[in-house]
Amino acid sequence: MMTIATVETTIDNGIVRISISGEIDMANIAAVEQEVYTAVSGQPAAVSMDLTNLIYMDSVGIRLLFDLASRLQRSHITLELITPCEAPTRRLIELSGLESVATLYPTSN
Amino acid sequence: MTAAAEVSAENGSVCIRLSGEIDRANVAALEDQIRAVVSGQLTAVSVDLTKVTYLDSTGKRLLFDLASTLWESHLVPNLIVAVDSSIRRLIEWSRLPLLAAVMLVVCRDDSSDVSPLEVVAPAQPRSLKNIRDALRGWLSTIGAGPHVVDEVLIAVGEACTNVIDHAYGAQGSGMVTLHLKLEVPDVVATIADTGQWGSPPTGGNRGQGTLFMHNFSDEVRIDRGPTGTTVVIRRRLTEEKT
Repeated sequence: MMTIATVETTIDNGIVRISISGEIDMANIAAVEQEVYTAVSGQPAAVSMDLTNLIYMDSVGIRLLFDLASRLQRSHITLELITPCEAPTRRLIELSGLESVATLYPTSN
Repeated sequence: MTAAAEVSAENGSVCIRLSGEIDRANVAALEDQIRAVVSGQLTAVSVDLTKVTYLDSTGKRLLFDLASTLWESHLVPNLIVAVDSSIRRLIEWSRLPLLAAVMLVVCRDDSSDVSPLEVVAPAQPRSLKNIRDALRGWLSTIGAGPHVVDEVLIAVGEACTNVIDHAYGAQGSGMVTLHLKLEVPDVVATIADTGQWGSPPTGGNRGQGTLFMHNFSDEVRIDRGPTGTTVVIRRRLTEEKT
């Protein structure tokens, strides 16, 4: 079996919008990390990450979000995270204290 | 002697059902059939051995070569084996468990009880997907709701990640075992290793993993001993956590 995540990036008025779908665990975290850091490398005005279609993530993914948020914060770039209200990903984010470095938004219908 | 391979492939996911007696006389034909389907971009490979009644050393070699090829492409095949079969002992005494996730299933039709499931996989990051898929399949057979499934996946995922990260040290290799059973109204997942943890995972990332493990279950019991660590996770089947 193979853990698969798809990272899609669009740039919209200087805002980098990253959408991650699939699953993130220890097996593919390095690959996902590389794609995400490549996406934000061009000094964007802000970063928005949509996790609506992420069906599995755990502390390994939370660690990536923490590192990313801290790094962006040092460059005064805001990070917003989008997850459905009832998603386990949202509870992971809330429990982890990520909201101190990133803003959490519900998925809009 | 006769053996048969029933092969199906869909979206990179391959399922091979072997049956009968596999020996030197028919192994080449089976190998051709398997090789034809195990190619290209694969995401999952399962080999069901529950209908195999005899397997000689050439048959074991066939499975080992298949698993080695898949390992090269970071894929861990599932070997589905009946818990009370002679095939199980053959597999366990071979080097196959180093390269495959062995799913030990109860094959009996005379019981309406939910059968437990045991998964024995190499303690490597690439096994995590096998473990999740096995967990999803088993939880769906017991009718668990989506919320319970999501939470059990995370709690068990954290426990297994802990094993992969800590149990066997930097150079060591070993196994992670997941046992699933239904104790109405609870699901009980036991995650075991035979390693010697340097220190319990506190602080940083693993500390958070342990926090999630507790938050997504009703009860977590961790038993660290000189011959390994066992984590027992209990989760009510009702959607809301008590």
